[in-house]
This record gives sequence, structure tokens and C-alpha cells, in this order.
Amino acid sequence: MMSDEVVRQYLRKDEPRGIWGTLWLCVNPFTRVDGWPALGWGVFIVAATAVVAIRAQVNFDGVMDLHVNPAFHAPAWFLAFEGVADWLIVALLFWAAGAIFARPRPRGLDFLGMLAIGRLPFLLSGILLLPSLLGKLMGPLTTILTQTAQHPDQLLQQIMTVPGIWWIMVGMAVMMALMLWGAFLNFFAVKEASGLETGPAIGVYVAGVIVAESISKIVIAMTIYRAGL
Amino acid sequence: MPVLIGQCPSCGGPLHVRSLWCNKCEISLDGAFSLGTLARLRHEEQEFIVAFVKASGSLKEMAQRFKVSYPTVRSRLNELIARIEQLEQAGEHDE
Repeated sequence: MMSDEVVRQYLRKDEPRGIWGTLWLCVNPFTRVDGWPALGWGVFIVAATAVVAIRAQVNFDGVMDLHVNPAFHAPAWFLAFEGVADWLIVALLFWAAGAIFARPRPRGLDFLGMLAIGRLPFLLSGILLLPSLLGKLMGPLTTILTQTAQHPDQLLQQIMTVPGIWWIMVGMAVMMALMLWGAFLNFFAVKEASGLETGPAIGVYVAGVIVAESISKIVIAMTIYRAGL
Repeated sequence: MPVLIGQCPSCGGPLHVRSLWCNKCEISLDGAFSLGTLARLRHEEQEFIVAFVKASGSLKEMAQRFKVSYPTVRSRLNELIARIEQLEQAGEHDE
């Protein structure tokens, strides 16, 4: 075997072969993409998420979640701000964690780029909630959820009367799968960018997500308060 | 020519050289020769080191050449450093 091929296989030894290898790259593309190209793709994803948030009126008000709240009419700048803030909080927090726990010290550029690519499942979830897709069906559902809050025994019966409820359920199942993908994608972004072993990377990731989620909620609440929304 | 291996394929223990041969004058030397740390590394690890030195020790150049990410190359290098340290410690115990 040629020397280059031996080295290439050694560098890619953790990647499964064949069709599993392709699927693996969907969950962990960060063994191939890094640095400025990752940041370029990531910034595109974050920008597209901001556009989708405005069009679908979706709040990306946390690092791992999104909400639809027709009662809260947020301005466009705020909907865009939420997604950008989530990305920067997560990237900077894990960069700091990487600088503390990983040796040699990892590159900040990789955290910014890879965790921006990690926003892709949230962008796709937001696309599902565009008015031309599930968005138009969500209004009646949220109205019923609000009305039946006092009568939880009637909830299921009322929900089944919502037009297109089966499409909403299918959409929700897809979104759950996307969220799960997002959790794994972000984990591998942190693991690869930091260079930590799997065990310590899981610890850093779980603790980091909890802290980042809390910081994100505080930043967003402060912005709402300061902007008088 | 077969690739020199530093580990016993049967029990995993370190291999030693018992005999050397000169192709030119056809002299054979018998004794207990040490393989040294680099020769004890696996073939793919040795090839990685050769490629890394040829790339002037640039992780970025290695990443570009082998179409993997920079952190992946750094991660393999970290593994290799740990393995060299392990072999050096094992070598000290052997002595």
C-alpha cells in the first residue's frame, strides 16, 4: 500500500467504512471540515436560521430548543439576534472549556465554525415551521393548547379537532429526530474542536450545554427587558 | 521486503533483534540488539511521522494533504506522543 494511503487510513481510523461511513459523516463531519471553511458554512447556516426565524416567527430562545409563540410578537431584529446569541454563547463557552481542559490548547476558530455548523438541524426545524409548511397549522393548535390549559382532561379530544393534526404530528416527530441529530452534531463539534477523549468530552458537553442554556435564557430575558418587548 | 514489526503478533510483547545480516559481505551478527522507540511503533504510525516531518511539522499542511480536519491530525499526534511516552517508559523498565 502507498505511504499516503497508509497515513490517510491511519488518520481516518475512527470512521466506519462504506455506507456507515457516509452516515457517520452526517453526525460527525468535523473530522473533515475545519477552520475557515467550517466558519464560512457555519455563518451561512446561522444567517439562514435568522432569515427563517423571521419568516416563520420562531424563537430560537435556547442553545438546544426553539419555540412558536403567536402571543409574543417579536421584532425581526430580536428573532435574528436569538439565533446569533445562541451560537456565540455556545462557541465561546466551549472554547473557554477547551482552553481549560484540553492540551494542547485548541483553536477558537474551530469552535466558532463547527458549532455554527451544529446549528443546521435547528435551521431545518425552523424551515419546517415556515408558514407554507407547518406554520399555518400551528396557530389553531397553540390556541387550543392555551384554551384547554385550565381543562387538561379535554386536551387530547380538542387537539384531535385541529386541522392537519396528523401533519403536525409527523412534523413534530421529524423535529424530534432533528433535535437528537443536533445534540450529537454539537457533541462531536465540541469533541473534535477540543481534541478531548470521548469520556471527558461527554462531561464537558453536558455541563456546557446546561451552563450555555442558562446564560442564553438570561441574555435573551435581559434583551427583552432592555428593549421593552 | 516485509515490514519490521516491534510487537509480538502472538502475545503482544516487545520484539528484540537477535541477528543482523550484511548483504554486501554476507556477514551475520548474532546478539541482543535494541529496536529503539521509533522502530517499535506500528507501521502506520511510522508513516505518519515521516509524512509529518516532510510537512515541516505543519498540522495544517497535513490536514490539507490528507483531506482531514486540523483537530483530527492534532488528535492523532497527541495519541502518538502518548504512545511514544508509553514505549519509552516500557523501555526503561526493560533496562
